[in-house]
Amino acid sequence: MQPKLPVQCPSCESSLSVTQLSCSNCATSVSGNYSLPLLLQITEEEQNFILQFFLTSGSLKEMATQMGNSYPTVRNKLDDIINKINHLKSKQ
Amino acid sequence: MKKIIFNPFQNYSEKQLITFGILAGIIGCFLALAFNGRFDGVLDLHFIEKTSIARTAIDLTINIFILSALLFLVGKIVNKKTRFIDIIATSLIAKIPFYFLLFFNVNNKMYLVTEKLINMVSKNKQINIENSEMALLVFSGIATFTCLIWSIILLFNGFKTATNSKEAKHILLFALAIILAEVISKIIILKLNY
Repeated sequence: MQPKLPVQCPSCESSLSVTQLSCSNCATSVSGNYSLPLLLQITEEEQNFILQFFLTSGSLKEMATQMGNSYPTVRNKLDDIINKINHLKSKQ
Repeated sequence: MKKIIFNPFQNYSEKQLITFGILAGIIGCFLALAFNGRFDGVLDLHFIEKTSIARTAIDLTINIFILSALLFLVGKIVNKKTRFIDIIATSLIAKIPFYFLLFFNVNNKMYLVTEKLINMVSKNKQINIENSEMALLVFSGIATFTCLIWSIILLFNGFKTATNSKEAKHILLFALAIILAEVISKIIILKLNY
């Protein structure tokens, strides 16, 4: 099972940040305080949606057919993700 | 199943919804002809002595276009990306519950019972109706209320999907559009008097 990258604090639900990165080859560790990239701050479902949008060359109609949803449902989902990303960007 | 009955707009394409809505409308027209029903308002169904296919078809066309036009106008205020095709699909599908109510007028029974009641009331006579007539009135009343709620749920879900509305003021605008559509369609149908 692929472990899920936690993006929210399980205790207080604030956004988590990266404090350590390590090399799996030589075990070198880098410590610091790095905020997560914008696309990693959204849910896995939303990330998959964006990936599918990219793979269908941005065709919402094709996505709707693939997902078994109507066109406005897919467009609404995209608009919601855009709003969420804009909100996250304004917080940064 | 629940989704198909109350919110088909989430999964079915506008082409599928419009095709189904038009087919249901044609069947509804023939049922209205068979059972003498008139759709004389966006949320109205009345039984008359005799109707014609042209009259029911014009009734339905007026209802669907007035409702679609007003909901589209409100939809554009809520979200500029709203498409007319999604709104017209909503109006066509939301009319379906009313077609089921036509079966209450088999052999003009419902029309005759209501006429009898109106006669008694207008002449200040004591209301005297048979048990079977009373049962028909009660059952049709419950069914009418259920179908009206079903139709409004369909309208709301279709509107919500077409506009991505989330705010309470959007619900208010939606309700205003429906009330206005009911009034305008009623006036047009009465004025045209076809």
